[in-house]
Parts: sequence; C-alpha cells; structure tokens
Amino acid sequence: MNDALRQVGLLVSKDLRIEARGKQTISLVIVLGVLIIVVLGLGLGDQSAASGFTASSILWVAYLFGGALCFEKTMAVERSDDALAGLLLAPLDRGVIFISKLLANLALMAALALIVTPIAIMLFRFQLRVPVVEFALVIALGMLGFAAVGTLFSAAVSSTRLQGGLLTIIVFPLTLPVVIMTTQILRRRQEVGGTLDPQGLLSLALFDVVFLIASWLIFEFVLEP
Amino acid sequence: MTGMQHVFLAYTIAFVALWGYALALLLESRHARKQRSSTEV
Amino acid sequence: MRKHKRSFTPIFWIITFILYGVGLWMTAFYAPVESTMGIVQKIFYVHLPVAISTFLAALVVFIASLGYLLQRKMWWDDLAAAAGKVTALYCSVVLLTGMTWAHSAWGTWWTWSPRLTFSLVLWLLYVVYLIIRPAIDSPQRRALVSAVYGLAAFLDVPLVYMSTKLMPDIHPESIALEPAMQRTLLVWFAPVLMTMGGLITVRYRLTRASRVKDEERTQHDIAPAIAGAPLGGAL
Repeated sequence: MNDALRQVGLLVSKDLRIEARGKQTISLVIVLGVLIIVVLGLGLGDQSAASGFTASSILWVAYLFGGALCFEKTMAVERSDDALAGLLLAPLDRGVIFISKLLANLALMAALALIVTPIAIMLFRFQLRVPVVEFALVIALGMLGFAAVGTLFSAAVSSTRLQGGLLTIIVFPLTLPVVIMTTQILRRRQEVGGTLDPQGLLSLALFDVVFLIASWLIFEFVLEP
Repeated sequence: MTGMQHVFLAYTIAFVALWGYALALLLESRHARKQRSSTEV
Repeated sequence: MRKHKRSFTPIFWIITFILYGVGLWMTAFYAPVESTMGIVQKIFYVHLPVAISTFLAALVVFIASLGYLLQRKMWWDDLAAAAGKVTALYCSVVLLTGMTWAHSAWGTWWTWSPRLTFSLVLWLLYVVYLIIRPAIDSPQRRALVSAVYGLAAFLDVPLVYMSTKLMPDIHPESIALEPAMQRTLLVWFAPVLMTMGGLITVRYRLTRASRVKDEERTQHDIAPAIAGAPLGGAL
C-alpha cells in the first residue's frame, strides 16, 4: 500500500514537473477557459451574466471543456519518446497509473478553476450567490466524477487518429448526470432560504464512487502502447 | 391536432421505425446473399 | 464456400407481425379510454414495452462489451455493435412517442421534465455509441473503445435516472391500470421484445458475415477491404 502511494506520488510529481517546465497544457486550458467565459458572458448579455445561476453555469461549462482538454493532453504526454512503453514495462500496477493520471488531471482542473474564476468575477461582476466553500465542494465532487471518466477514455482513445474531438463526444454524454446533479444542487442552494440538498450530494458522490471504481478497474484493459 | 391524431402519430412512428429497420436489414441480407452467390466458385 | 444462412426464419417475423396487429387491435378496440388522460394515454401500450426493450438492448451491449473486454473475440464486438444500433433505434422511438404524448398533454413538443430528460440523455448515450465506432479505423481499437464505452454507458443509466430525479417534476403522472389495460400492455410486450431480439440477431449475423468476409479477402491478398464508408457504416 505504501509502495503504491509512493509510486502514485512519483508519477504525479513527474507529470506536474513536466507541466511546470513547459506550461503548455495549463496555458492552453486557461486560455480556453477564459475564452468560453468571455464568449458565453458576452453572448448572454451583461445583465444575465451577473445573476447567480448563470454565473455558476458559465463557470462550470468553462471548467468542463477546459478539463476535457486536460485529459487529452496529460495522456498525450506519454506518446512522445515512447514514454508509454516505458511506463508499461515498469513493475507498476495499471491502477497506479490510472490514479496518478487522475490526480494530475484534477490538479490541472483545480488550477484552471482557481485562475479563471477570479477573472470571470472581475470581468462580469459574477455573483455566485453561494458560499465559496459550498460552491467549491459541489464543483470538486463534480470534477472528480468527470475526471474519472475522462482519464479512462483519454487512455482508450489516445492512439486513435481523432483523439480530441472523439474524447469530447465520448465523455460528455457519460457525464451529463454530473452536469444535471451539480446544476440542480447549486440552483437549489441559490434559492432564497435554500440549502445544500443532501440527496443531491449523495447522488453526486455515488456517481463518483461508481465511476472511480469502474474506471480504475477497466483502465487495466485499455492501456496499450 | 386531436388526441386521436397524436395516438395515430405515435403508433406510426413506432411502426415505421421498427418495421422499417427490419425491412432495411432484410434488403441488406438479400444483397449480401446475392454477392455471396456471385463470388462462389 | 459455406452455405449462406437464411437471414432469419420468416415464420418468426410473420408471428411477430401478427402479434403486432393483435396489439394494435387491442389498443384500438379492447382497451378502454382512460378517464383522466383521455385517448392519448393509449400511446402507453407501445411506449412502455419499447422503453423496457431499450433497456434490455442496452444490457446486451453491456454484456457483449464485457465479453469483448475479457475474451477479445471479435464476435462479441459484432454483437455489441448490433445491439447498440437497436438500442439507439428503440430509444428514438421512446423519445418520439414520449414527445408526441407530451405535445398532446401539455401543448409543447419538449419540456425538461425528468422523464423526457432521462430519455434524451439515454438517446444521446447510444447515438454517440453509433457515431464513435466509424470514427476509429483499427478494428481492434474500435472494439476496445466501444466496449469500454458500452460498459460505461450502461453503468450510467441508473445514475442518469437518479440525476433526473433531482430535477423539478413539473408534470407528475401516474397511471392506474384496469385489467383490460393490463392485458393490452402485456400483449404488446410480445411483438416489441421479439422485434428487438430479431433485429439484434439479424444485424449481428450480417455484421459478422461481412467482417469475416473482409478478413478472408484480406488474407487472400486481394486489394485490402475498405472497412465501410464512414457514416454509411453507422446504420
């Protein structure tokens, strides 16, 4: 168990160090995120964008599409210099690779959220109307399930011709429950006198558990050089 | 549209979808059979 | 060369067709008109069996996907592909009949009610299954990605259901069935399920036969078989 944790730590720090050096993925992802916010914000007109519900939705959309880009890139890293073959030859449990990629993806998505949200608030005077902590909790739970599915399929499609577009088409229908759940939870919280719906949070957590376990198990079958 | 027309529409959709696809598959298998017999020695 | 199997026993299809006719007759003349919802309620007799069949077909996709993942035999993929097409087809029927009912009951073709939203997401899930397949060139990779997706999509179904339960339920509806209605409903299951099974079987045999033929041709060094036109292969 300690070995596995150590391995995960090593792999994740490897990925994050590579990223820190080039800053390729994170800059792409942040730019995409900002673009989405600007396009949606402008498209909806200044008035609506300031309202709580629309604001959290726009942010969530930005995180999701930015995240999808992350998944593609963190797996693409293994394509250069036959890194993937090296990774597979190492005496590593495939599950460890899954978790490390998942954590790398989550780290990138967190960075995206942390950088893009203040920009959005500044540009459009977004008002979340939900305590930041609660917003962060719901979004984090959502990102977890989203990233589980995304990590699994980024490995599955990484060697195909169409990678990026294919990945987006695959991941989004599967994670629509996450979108629905997070939106409904936030919406209910934003209502006057609203609370964080426990049933909603439980359903969201269930999605996360199901897809974390399923993706972790299936990942084994999916990685091929 | 009356309720009756809606019922009619719904059942027509179901019929066309299911039997239409069945027909399409039938035609495809006929075509495949012809191809097969034409390439048989 | 192997003798080509008949596409499917004609008798099977004749019986199915007759049962379909029986169902229609019962819907029109045997089942009473429901008091609160009126005649539109009769859509239910075809809508529910088709919905159940969609679920069963998706289950076949799940099992076939699992089979391929574990055994890596291509016939599992053929089966998954066939069942996937039928799932998408049946789901389209569920969606369209549901929308027709909605239009009659609420005057609008679409509303984000939990039930319709559920049908839409399900439909998207399996239509995407159809779309991604032709987008992957290598048969093995296609089978692999499809298998993983087939598993994930089915796992998703109860979760989609749960998520739609969180949505505001604008139009609650419950149906109390009289015996005559129950009988009509039961009768409808027969042709709908038979059609599902029959379509999957025929589609499976056709897909498998064409794949085997392609493989044989490639082995005989004839010009490489083109693996089907991109979107033409989707149906």
